[in-house]
Amino acid sequence: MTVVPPAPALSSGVIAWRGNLRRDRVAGAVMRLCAALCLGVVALVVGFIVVRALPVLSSPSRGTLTGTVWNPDRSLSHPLHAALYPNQFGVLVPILDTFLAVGLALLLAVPIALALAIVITDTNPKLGRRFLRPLIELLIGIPSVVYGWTAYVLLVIPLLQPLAGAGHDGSGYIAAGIVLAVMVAPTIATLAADALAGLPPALREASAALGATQWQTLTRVLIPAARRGIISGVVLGMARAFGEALAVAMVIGGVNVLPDFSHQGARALADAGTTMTVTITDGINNLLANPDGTAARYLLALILLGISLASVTAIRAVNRRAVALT
Amino acid sequence: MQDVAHQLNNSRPTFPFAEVTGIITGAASKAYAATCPGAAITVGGSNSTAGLTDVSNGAAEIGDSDVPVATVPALDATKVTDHQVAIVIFAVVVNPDSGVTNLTAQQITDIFSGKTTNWKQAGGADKTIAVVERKAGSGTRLAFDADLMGTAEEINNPSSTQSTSAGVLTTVSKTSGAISYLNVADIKGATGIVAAAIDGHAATAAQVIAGTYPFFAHEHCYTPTSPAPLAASFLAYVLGPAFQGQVAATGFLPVSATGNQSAIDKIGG
Repeated sequence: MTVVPPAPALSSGVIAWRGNLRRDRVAGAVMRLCAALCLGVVALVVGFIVVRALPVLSSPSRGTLTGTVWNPDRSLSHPLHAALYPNQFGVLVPILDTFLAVGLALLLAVPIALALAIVITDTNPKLGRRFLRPLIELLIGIPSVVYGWTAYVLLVIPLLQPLAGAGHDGSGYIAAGIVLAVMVAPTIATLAADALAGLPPALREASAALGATQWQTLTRVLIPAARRGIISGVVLGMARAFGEALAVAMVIGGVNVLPDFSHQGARALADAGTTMTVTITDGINNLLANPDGTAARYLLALILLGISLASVTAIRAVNRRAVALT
Repeated sequence: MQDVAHQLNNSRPTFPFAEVTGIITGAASKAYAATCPGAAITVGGSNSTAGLTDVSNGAAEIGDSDVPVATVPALDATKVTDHQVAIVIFAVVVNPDSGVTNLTAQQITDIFSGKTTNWKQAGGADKTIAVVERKAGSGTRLAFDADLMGTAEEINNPSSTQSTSAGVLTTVSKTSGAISYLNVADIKGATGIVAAAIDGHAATAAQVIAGTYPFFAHEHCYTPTSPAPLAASFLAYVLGPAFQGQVAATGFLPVSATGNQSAIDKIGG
């Protein structure tokens, strides 16, 4: 009868180590699978949108892609004479309109958000931390339909309609710009405040020691030093503005034309327009009835996706450069 | 009826509705649920075009629409059965400060195609016209284009486009010089909005029956060619004498009221 000798202590350690190694490998494989899934979903989304957008390139109206008329559902209104009223896919219209609305929003939001961030971190931190910051974070959580409805009732009808003048109901780029500004300013303010608060105290002390005023410290030391976070905030806010559909749809008027600056000057900003998201939303009910119009909207979705990807890439580039400089 | 509903407890017919037909089927489904407690009927909202396409692809068991199936050429008409449930009367609506209560059919075409831009040119106040349109695919817009615009086209740069009848109601009543089109049931009791007569004929049931008022349409409930039993029994209820007797009270006309067809009704027919 052979007696199995008890395993030496070292060997039990080796077994435990091997067990850990196996667990590590399994965990590693699971994580790689998750990463692959993420990439796969992104690839599927991009692929799906590209495939769905392709028919617009073979549609009889493809020649209108570069035109200045976006009327993707035109034929639907003329079932008996559809051939006389071909759909028009001048994608430049929703693209430029979107840039105008988002540009107006950033023009309004960035200065206000920066001012809020400075109040929170430097000029009145007590008020900022107790009231402003929680309030701003609350604003981020308000659903867009609330913004849209409130703006329509309090801004478009009583204020913008008289401003827009006869023949206009007040909905348009200005209304959309203001609503988007209110929606993205909290995002920009929060990120800018984080960036300013994260600066080393030595910067403020050294600047004060040199005799700089608070204004000089802010404009020449703190804002340049925190630019990475501020730019990230602006880009994120911009991305949100590009993607917002509901609130904009409620106040922009949904009219598929370019602003008429040449005849109306700056007043054209009070006219109704559209955005890519708004015109995509408009097409939902006609999805099956108008395949070419649907494809044209997928093309817009692809462009929106490109803008999102460009925004993310921009933030990463800014951060990399800032890291390289420090 | 109790028996039918009882057998079909688990079948839930859904029907997306064109808003306007939805007023009828919404009222009917409430009344019907009261008679048949077991019947679960879901009413979803969209537009006349989606009401049609959702039935043809099987997403809904009843699709409500203001328009004939031929108005959506992309759709296979042989896959759906048409049930006409009521007649809706539409009206061209204006903000009272336009100063008009009557327009000729030609004036309406000229306003919506952008030829006429001031109310003075149409016998009203010296005020710029604010054209409010519905989005493409809306049954109200399809009916308006067929019944009144003919081959003319609504302008591409109106004051605004609205996705719902409620949006039109609000915008027209709040905007100086505004004009749009709406179903008569939605204007009932509303303030700050006037239904203009067309060529001297008011938007009333009597004028539709007399054949003098052109802007109306038959309301359709579409089903697959072989409708689900609960859907069929629901439609039988909608078309039955009890419910048809109440249709007039909702601002519509029962189908039996007149044999007149509007231009939109005649498409494909």
